[in-house]
Amino acid sequence: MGRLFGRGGQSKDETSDALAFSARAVEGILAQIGVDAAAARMDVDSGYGWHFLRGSALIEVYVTPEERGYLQVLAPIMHLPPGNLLPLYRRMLELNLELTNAALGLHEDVVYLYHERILEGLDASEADVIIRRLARVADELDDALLEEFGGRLYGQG
Amino acid sequence: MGGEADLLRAIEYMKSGDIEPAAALLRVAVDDPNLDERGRAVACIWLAETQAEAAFKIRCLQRALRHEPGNPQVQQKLEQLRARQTQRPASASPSGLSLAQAPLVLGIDGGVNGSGSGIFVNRGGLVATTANAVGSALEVGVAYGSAQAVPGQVIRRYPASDLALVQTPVVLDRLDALEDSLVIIANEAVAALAYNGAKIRGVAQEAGDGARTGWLRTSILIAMAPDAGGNPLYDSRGHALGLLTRNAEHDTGRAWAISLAHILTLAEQCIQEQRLLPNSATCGACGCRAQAGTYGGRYCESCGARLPTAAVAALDPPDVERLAQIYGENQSRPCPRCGATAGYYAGQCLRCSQELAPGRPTT
Repeated sequence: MGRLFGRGGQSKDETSDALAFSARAVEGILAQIGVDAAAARMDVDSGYGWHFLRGSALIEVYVTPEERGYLQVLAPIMHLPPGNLLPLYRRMLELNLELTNAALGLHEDVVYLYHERILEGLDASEADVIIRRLARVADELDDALLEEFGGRLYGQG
Repeated sequence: MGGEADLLRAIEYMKSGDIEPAAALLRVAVDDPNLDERGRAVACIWLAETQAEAAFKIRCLQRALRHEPGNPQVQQKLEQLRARQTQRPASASPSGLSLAQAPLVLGIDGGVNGSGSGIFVNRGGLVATTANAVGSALEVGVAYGSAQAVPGQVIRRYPASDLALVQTPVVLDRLDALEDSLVIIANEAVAALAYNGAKIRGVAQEAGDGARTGWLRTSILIAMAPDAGGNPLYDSRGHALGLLTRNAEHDTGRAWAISLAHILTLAEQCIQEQRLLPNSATCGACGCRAQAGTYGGRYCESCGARLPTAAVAALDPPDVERLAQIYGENQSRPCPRCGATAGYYAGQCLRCSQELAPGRPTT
């Protein structure tokens, strides 16, 4: 995707040492949970990004260029159907109220499940829990939403 | 199994009064390819008998006619049902439980916020209470007198006015409290009655603020509210002036009431709406009269919430064209990027957020 959600006004030149430090920390964490960080690295407009498969779910991880480092973990779920949008949007908002530590969002025509937290204090174990959980919930939600509202699984024909 | 055997089993269930298992089998039978057209028509006719609602029966019988065009019994039954629908005023009571005079206050049970109160607003048994008192319930109990109660069907909620209208099977001979009660003098002394027996005194006046049309300011503190709301306010002559709500001014804590004039206006609108949209159903989420279910749509066209199963025409294949019109999904230009006709907001496609060129029409 190559861009961040609602963040990232600064260019890479402006990013601080702290951000680079955060990115190294994330790569260390990804390595600890079995992800080849170098291979997973994405070219993004600002900050740092990685993507990899966890189970059947595609996971995207971003570190955002802000004063305090933020970690964003996203799982693109589905492309929106051409119609039935009002009920789908409503269902997404209802799910947002039900989900714990995750929320549904929309970028262009793709529905994302995402989690966000400050990097400070994050360790590999917690990152693993976040990623595994997001992958599991994404896996549950994609089929349910597709069955009810139509659309297309992200990245599939 | 399936086919004729299941249809016969369903009919046996119906004859023995086991409606639910019969309905489950019949819903399958109406589309069962193992049955011939006549068999599917028979399934539709029996399915019509599984619910009391006239609109449902009509949909079933229409479907039966499609399978067996010209069936005289079905045609006759359809005509009877349609005639009954047009003859009966939308707010009239189906069974006509008659009361000589309207009770001063009614009890409303079954809402998520606890018991509330209400008042009859026409002689056809239409009850007004607050939307807060009924919550998302579509059926409530309406209590009157010392221990009597009747079932009430929530037919409309107006969230902006915190008003809910409930149809009961009651016919009133007189409704004195509503006569000459639409003029409110400033700081009129009122008493708010609750079905639980509480009576709170205060004063009320028109809000006098264009943005609050239909609302009355009261001196009653919200902390004194006796129940979930809908308490009729009476003046010293016994005329109803409005309904006390659980809404209050933030700074003073004084409760707002809905003026009776506003309630009667909305009640009349509701009755007209029911006449114009006889097959519409109340959406539990937003309280509007949703039409989508009539055409096989599963979602309220107003808020997108799932409609109650009984409000959706399960029989008919969805009328895609009509639904697109109801959902407003065929009234916009196709998006140049994704092709969707979902519409635009602030110049962006509602589906893919593609920005339109400035000045380009969206319809």
